[in-house]
Amino acid sequence: MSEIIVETNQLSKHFQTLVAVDKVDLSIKKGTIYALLGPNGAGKTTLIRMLLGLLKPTYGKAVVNGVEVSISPKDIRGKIGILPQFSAAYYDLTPMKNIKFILNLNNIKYEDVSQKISHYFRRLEITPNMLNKPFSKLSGGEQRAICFIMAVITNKEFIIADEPTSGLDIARAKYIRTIIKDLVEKEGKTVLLSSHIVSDLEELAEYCGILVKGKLIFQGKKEEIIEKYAPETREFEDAIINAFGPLSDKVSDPFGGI
Amino acid sequence: MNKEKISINQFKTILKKDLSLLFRKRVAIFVFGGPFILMFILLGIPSLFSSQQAVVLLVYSDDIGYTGVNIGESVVGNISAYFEDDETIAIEVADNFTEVQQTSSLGIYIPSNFSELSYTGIPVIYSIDATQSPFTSATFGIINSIATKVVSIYLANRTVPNVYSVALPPAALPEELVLGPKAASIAMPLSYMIFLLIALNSSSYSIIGFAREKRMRTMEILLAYTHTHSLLVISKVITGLIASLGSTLSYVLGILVGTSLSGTSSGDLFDIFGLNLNKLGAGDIIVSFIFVVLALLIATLITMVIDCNLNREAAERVSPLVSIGLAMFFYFIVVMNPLGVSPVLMINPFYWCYRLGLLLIAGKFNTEVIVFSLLIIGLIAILIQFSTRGIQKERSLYLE
Repeated sequence: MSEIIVETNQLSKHFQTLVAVDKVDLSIKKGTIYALLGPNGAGKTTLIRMLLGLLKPTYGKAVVNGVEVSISPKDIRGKIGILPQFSAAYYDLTPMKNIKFILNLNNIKYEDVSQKISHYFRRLEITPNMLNKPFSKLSGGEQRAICFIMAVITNKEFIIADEPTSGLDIARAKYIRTIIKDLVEKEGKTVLLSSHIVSDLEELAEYCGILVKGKLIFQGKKEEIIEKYAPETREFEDAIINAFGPLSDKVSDPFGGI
Repeated sequence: MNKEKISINQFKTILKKDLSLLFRKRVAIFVFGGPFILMFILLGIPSLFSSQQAVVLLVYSDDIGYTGVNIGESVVGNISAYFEDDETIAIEVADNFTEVQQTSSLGIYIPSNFSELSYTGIPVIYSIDATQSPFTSATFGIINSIATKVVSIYLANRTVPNVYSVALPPAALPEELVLGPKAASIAMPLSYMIFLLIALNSSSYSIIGFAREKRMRTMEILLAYTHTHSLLVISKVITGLIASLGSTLSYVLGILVGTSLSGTSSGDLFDIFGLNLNKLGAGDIIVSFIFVVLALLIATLITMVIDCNLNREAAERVSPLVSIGLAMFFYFIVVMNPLGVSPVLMINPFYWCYRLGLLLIAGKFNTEVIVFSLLIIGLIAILIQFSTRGIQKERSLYLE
């Protein structure tokens, strides 16, 4: 039986009257890619932030890599690689300075990973010219690629990637998917993936969790979702849409139901 | 690698990053170039268009000395001696009263019966004040004092004092007896420096604050990877202090260059703040600077607490007001009685720094020193704690 790297028990987060995450029992096996799916505002980011120890749960328990983050969030700091939803970097610094900053913050010497970085640069078509420009001068796709390198180069056992291929062209997106697969298959790392891009999910997701209105309504293998939510079409995309439910259930009507 | 070593390495990395952000082109021009350009424009540029010459004081004594003594002559001599080293005022002795009457500058006329009048103990000087400026009024105050002094010496000794024999030492403040002359001479410059530096730098703190991290969405990364979150605050505070000191140096250099263009510069960096190296000695000046930096540190931390605990818009509006408000509250009360103990100011942390600085310069090591030291250390620890808690709050992860 595979080792569990993330386990939550009744994990909940309330913001005043809003229940952002509601009694979630999540379980992620080590060495797998787990896709956390859900419509906008379902509570994915809040759940991820609780796993990172950045948000304190209202109640419930979360254990990540053997650390009970709900009790001692300090102990998880620096143990999870993160790729936030939006490109998070210092816009006035060059991409190389941003990468070196993340490496230094994680006590990794540039020389030790320089070959790996060069390899990523080549595959993601990051040219030396781009590396000398301020981060703000790069295109959205180039920025995303740099942020992805910043997340994976830290060599963490557990990586949380929020929309890793958002804004990327087809070639870069494909290569990022390859890197993620390699991290899991060749290096034994675990990836928690949050994405709305079906091609990413179809190719990468081994296990899925579906979060709707803060509740984890389903957790299991990709095939099980298809079996449950799209038995007729057997399409993964249909299964996700059906699992999310009708749009009116997820988004409050600004016109008050007119 | 143990946690402490990791924390030190992380701190170095974060500080290096914060400094890189401070020294990026646009910010560096604003923080370090701005005050210089401002002071250069305010002081230097006008001097290129108008020649700044010393104020001329035209003096004429018509005093005959009915009783065989001429006090008027002695007054004129002593006025000339008093202003001998002052480059801002030139004393010229006129040949006749008409010349004094017709001068467009300043004129002092000592009438023919001055000696006679002075026997009543009330010296009378007929003066023509052409400018009515406060500077001129102060000058006339000095001249009146010189005249009074000359007359009183004559009345006491029945001899007219020689030129140079009349000196006007500044009136001794009663508090000098308590804290001594060193503290007395540093009190005003110290309070002025604290006020000026805080007022000058209140707007530059926001440049280095966490609002920018939130905008760049790097807050999440910093919080997730940094083991000790207070290091994030300390790094920002150090960067803020460097920005403040650099900005102040730029301001002082701007004044130096500006005044040297206008020909009024003494060429002394300390002179701008009224610090006299001959009187005080380098050690006292260093101590006073330490306390100015300490006040700046507290001002930066107060801004940081506001920045970390309020949303960006509110923080940017409130933090300069709090710093400048506290600095004004401190300065305008201190300026009324620089060496006195003010119960109202006991709640003002800048006063703690000021008072502790004065006590140490005066060589006093009493209970007051211990209390103020503890207050300052405690406040710094509390402010770091509040800032750290602020960045750990949920709102720091959201843009607003």
